[in-house]
Amino acid sequence: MASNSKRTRVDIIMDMLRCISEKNGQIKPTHLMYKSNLSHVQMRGYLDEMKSKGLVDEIIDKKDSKKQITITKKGRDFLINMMRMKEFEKTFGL
Amino acid sequence: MALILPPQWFFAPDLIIDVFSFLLLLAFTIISLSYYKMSKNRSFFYLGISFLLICLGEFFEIFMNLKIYYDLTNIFHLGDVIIASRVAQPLQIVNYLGGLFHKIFVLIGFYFLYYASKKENKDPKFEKSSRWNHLIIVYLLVVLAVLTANVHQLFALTIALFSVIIFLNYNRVYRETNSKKSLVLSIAFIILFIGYMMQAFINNPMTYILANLLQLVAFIILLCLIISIFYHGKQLKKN
Repeated sequence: MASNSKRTRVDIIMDMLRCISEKNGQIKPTHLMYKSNLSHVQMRGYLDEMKSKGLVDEIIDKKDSKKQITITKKGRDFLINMMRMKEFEKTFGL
Repeated sequence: MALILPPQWFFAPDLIIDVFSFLLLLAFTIISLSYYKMSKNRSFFYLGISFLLICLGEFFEIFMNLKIYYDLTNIFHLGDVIIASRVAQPLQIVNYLGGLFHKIFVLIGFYFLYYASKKENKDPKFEKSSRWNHLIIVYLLVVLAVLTANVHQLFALTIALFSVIIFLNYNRVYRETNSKKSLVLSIAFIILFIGYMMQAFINNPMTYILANLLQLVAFIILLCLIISIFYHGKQLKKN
């Protein structure tokens, strides 16, 4: 998770994607909310944006019939690119 | 000042080093500008422009070296007596123009690399006020390149100066972030600094070879750096 006190919009999206990815690509919305330090309203806003861009999907888990957030291939590729960009940025002190 | 030529056995390695440097700089340009497109962070833009300019400088050096080596190789087959009369004229023109464009692009490229490595350029007010400064400095660097087109030492000394300041800036980044990659980056620039200082103060073919080898080492370090940055997301891809 980004260590800066004020995260940018992209930082938050990256953090959310990373949380989902670390949970084997699937996470409950409540867990995602806690892990990415967001309120419910904020998280919904970001999730709607991420869904519209094809970065995540919402599915119903067959085991407990509860909603789950999954990361798509596009979302994973986006996260990888962003991680590389952040590393490049950090290395060059940009 | 007389043109310093390396021994004939070093012609091919010299060209290989230049082409390798050109390709690596081109890769850095593409990566920096694509990240600028993604993030709209202007520091990426300055970094991309600086790599692009140095890359263009490298292109002129390759062109210049190809011409020189082609001419010299032809003449060497004819015998030593002809060397003096054939080499002089074509070499002087190609060497002057190629050398001039090489110097202009590399000088401006290193200036923007120095600017991108500065901490202050993250402040939007500073960035806005420094636009006129860029114009004046670019103008002065072009004047420097034109006036010293035949004085390689002054060019090498200026690049050495830029390199050592860039080294200090990246070393500061390393101390602030504790990023090993920033340390590696700063090491690449201190190696470039040593190479250019050698070119500035010692003027013989062996120094030319050594300086080129140091440049190769610095660029190999940069290649390793870029590979390690791209490896950063690879583990995630495996999951």
